[in-house]
Amino acid sequence: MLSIEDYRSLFVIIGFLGILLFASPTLALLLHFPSGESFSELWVLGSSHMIENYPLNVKDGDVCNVSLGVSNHMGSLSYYVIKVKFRNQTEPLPDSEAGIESPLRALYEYQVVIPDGEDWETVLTFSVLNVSAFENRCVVGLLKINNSTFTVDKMTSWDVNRRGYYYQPFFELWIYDGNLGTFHFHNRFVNFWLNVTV
Amino acid sequence: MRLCFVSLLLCLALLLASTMVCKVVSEDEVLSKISEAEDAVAQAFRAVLDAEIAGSNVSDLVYRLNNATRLLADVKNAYNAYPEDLNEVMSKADQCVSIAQSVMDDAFIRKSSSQAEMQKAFWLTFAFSSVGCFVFIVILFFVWRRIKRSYVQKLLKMKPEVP
Repeated sequence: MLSIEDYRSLFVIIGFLGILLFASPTLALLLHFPSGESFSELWVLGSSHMIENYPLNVKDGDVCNVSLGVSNHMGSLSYYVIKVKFRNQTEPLPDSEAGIESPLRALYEYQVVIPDGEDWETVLTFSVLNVSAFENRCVVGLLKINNSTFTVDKMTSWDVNRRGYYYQPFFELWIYDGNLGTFHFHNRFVNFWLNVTV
Repeated sequence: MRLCFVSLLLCLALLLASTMVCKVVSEDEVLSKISEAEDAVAQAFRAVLDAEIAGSNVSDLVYRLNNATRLLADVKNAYNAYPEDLNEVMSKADQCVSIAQSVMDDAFIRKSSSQAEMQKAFWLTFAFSSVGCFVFIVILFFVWRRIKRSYVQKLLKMKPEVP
């Protein structure tokens, strides 16, 4: 048989659990536990909407398509800018370790607001124009992205190992920081190579 | 004759200069309009985010805000690609500002109404919790007294056993 002290302890525990149970709806409104890891995804897919069939060998005027997408797992609504940049083999990509964007100017950009847990995707159409080659050099004069034509005048040298004139379109993800009131590089970028032929 | 020629040259120079000045002013206006559109969209985003944090359903506001961000990107891309085609850029920037402002106004209204509802819900929940806790403790107290009494009575009814 239980002693009176045992019964008292049992009642105190039941009382405590009951109070916790009835107070839990209010506690749920007051207490905010830290959510999981917050991050964003950026991807570029080939013309077949898979990680293959990326445009590689392109001629002056060829129209190429890639799919570009962003996924928001930041825990709240996020405002993104995707900057499209174009470089030759010697120009710098963003520095992932330092989290610094490429110093090259953005030719084209997308701006999108994505709710938490949702994706955004678009098809980017581009073509290289005014391509000229002389000696062992190649110059791309214009880059057309989604009906907007940009002057690039970008020169590259013949790549002896890969046998071609290589350029790289790349996409940087920037995010709006509400506290600072500015966009900052979100340390995510994707790219693919183009072998430009005249 | 020479005077006429000089005057004509002067007029042409003046016309050219005024055209150049007009173009510069116009480009400045476009840049200022783009900056205004960027600010408007950023403020609208902050307002929608606040409304979302306050508990509002903001899916329609996000849809409208994305129309503004799309226009803003179009404006900036068009400006980077064709700096001479400024009228369309100005018109799109105006549309963008107008949409962003309307989104911001709606987001503020949504936020206030959500905050009021959240406050109401909080007090209702708090009242439920308080009353629930009180009633539970009172019942537990009576149950405890009853059990204690029966326990004592049971003890009193017991006869001592002599070994």
